[in-house]
Amino acid sequence: MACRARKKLRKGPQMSYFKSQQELEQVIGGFLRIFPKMEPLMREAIGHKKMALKLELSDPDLTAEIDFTRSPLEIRFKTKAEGAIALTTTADHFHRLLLGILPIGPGVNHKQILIRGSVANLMSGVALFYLAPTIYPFFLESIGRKDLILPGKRPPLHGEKILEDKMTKIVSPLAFLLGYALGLLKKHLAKNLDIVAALESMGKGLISATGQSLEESKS
Amino acid sequence: MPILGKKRKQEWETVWKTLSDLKMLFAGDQEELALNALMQNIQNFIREQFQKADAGKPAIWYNIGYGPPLIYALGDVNNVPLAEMSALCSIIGDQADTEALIDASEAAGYSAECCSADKAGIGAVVKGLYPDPCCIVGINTPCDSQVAAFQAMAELRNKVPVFPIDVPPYDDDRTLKYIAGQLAEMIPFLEKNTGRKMDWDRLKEVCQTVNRTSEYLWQWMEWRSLSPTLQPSKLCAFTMVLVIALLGSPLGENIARGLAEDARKKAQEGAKYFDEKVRAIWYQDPVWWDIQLYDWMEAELGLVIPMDIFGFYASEAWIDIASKDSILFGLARLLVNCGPMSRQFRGTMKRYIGDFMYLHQRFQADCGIMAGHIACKHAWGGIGLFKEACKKAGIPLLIFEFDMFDSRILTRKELQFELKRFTNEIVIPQKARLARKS
Repeated sequence: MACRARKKLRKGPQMSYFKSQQELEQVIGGFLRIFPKMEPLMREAIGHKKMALKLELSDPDLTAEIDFTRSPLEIRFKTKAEGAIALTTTADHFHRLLLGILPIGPGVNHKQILIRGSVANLMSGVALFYLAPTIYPFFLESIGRKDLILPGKRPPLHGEKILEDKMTKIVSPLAFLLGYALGLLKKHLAKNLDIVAALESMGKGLISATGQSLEESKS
Repeated sequence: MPILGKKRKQEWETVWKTLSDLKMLFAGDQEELALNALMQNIQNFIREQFQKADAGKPAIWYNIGYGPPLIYALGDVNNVPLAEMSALCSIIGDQADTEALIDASEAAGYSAECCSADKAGIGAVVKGLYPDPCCIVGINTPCDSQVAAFQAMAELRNKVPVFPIDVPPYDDDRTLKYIAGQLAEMIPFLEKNTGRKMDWDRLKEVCQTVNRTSEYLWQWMEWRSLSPTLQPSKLCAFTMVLVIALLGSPLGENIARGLAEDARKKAQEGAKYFDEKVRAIWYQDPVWWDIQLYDWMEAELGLVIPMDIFGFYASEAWIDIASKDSILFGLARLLVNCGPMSRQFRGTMKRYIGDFMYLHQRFQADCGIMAGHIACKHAWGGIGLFKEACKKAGIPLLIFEFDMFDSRILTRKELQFELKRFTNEIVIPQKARLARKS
């Protein structure tokens, strides 16, 4: 299933995090399956672009398509569809990407990640991977795979965002505080707090406040 | 995303947003001096263009074969290359926009046989993406498509004065003097239509900037000629963007410095991210609609492009600033003998083939790739001679037909198939045979 391009991508020096395809499907596949729950946030992240993102992972293999052209968004596995944009890498690199250990910029520059498609769409699509490191560790914890959360310092995923808009300058610190409060709550009061459910609720709140349905946001 | 606080046409906003996103993404990798220099200075160029347009400064349109040094010497004048949006949408915007511009040009009745760089440029004019010009400069290099593009610009703005530059297919002193004479005639034309006086001291400064830029580009070529070449292949062709839009400006110099420093740093540090197996001189046009293809070539095939014809910057670029005559002569020589638009694409096949052989040797290449852009009919016309020369020299040559700005002519998959077959079935076995013999 995996093409030679994926086989030839540089692997890290460490042992593989996923021993089998089944394990990969359980972890990465499972993570992708929760995307529809966070659809409003995901659509915000990609700027409401109608596009399909193809993932081609190797060692072990997994192919998936995150289809934002459909509403609700669809996740398809073992697909031969090309996708408007594509990301090809090894399962290990992808795992590190989701944890925020491998930022996508250096990953592309060091040929650990290959990307394909219109640059404008790619830049919208990569925003998903700015969001992922805040959710993926909680997901791993929720499925009892805390062992896959790698220790170490996370490098910045990207440079400073240029906050041109005054309102964004105000809202960004507020959103940070909200996240911080949620983190404190989980750490000290409710260790089993479901962060994905919290993000899902945040997305619902976003829709209810803006009065924007998913159909509208698509168009 | 608004530009300078104002809403702009969708194509511009897409380019601006993508450029901002790209800058943010790669700012996470400070090692990438060249990429960061390219993005920063291209964005500054666009910003300056909008600042000038918003302030009502005069704009000059020109087509592919021309460059901006004389325009920069006029001061606050906006230089607008016709193919600007063709390149921007494909390289740092949405390829679908480039193809929509090509279609807009054809729908408006302009020839489908023209070069896609020009068609998308004309589409941009049709869609009103450029500030209105006070005058137009049209040059006949490299091909008939340029003449058609010049006619289209003139027709679309039929009250705007135009100045034609004629470049003959030669490169001798007589030719250079003939072109220097045309540049001298063009100065009063530009002064009259822009309302700006040519400042010769400023022109000297612009030429000094050109000379410094040229030095950086020659250093860059030197570092890239080393094997293995550790700077990405995808950066090779950007010299052309620099020469057409930014040559003579500090922004252009910054890009050239970034390219040279990045190549030096990578060569000295020796950090390898893939195994280089095959080195190819990419002749003719880059795949602008899929710059990421070069990463695939490196990661999948070990195929590296140390230099291509768009990146090659010949040694005749030096401008002597001693007198007005020497400046104009230097600018004429730069125009004719330096970039591919006049040097190889307009000149004789002898020079076209000679330059390929020179690059092949200097950059220690194993083979050649003739990426035949369908509109480059001048190159297709001499393909028999080129093939024969490569055969005689024992250089494997891949030839394929595609369009550099239109992904609908040859798809990525078809292109990958050709490159994979050529590398794995022809070049690598030949290298192995040669290694066994020696």
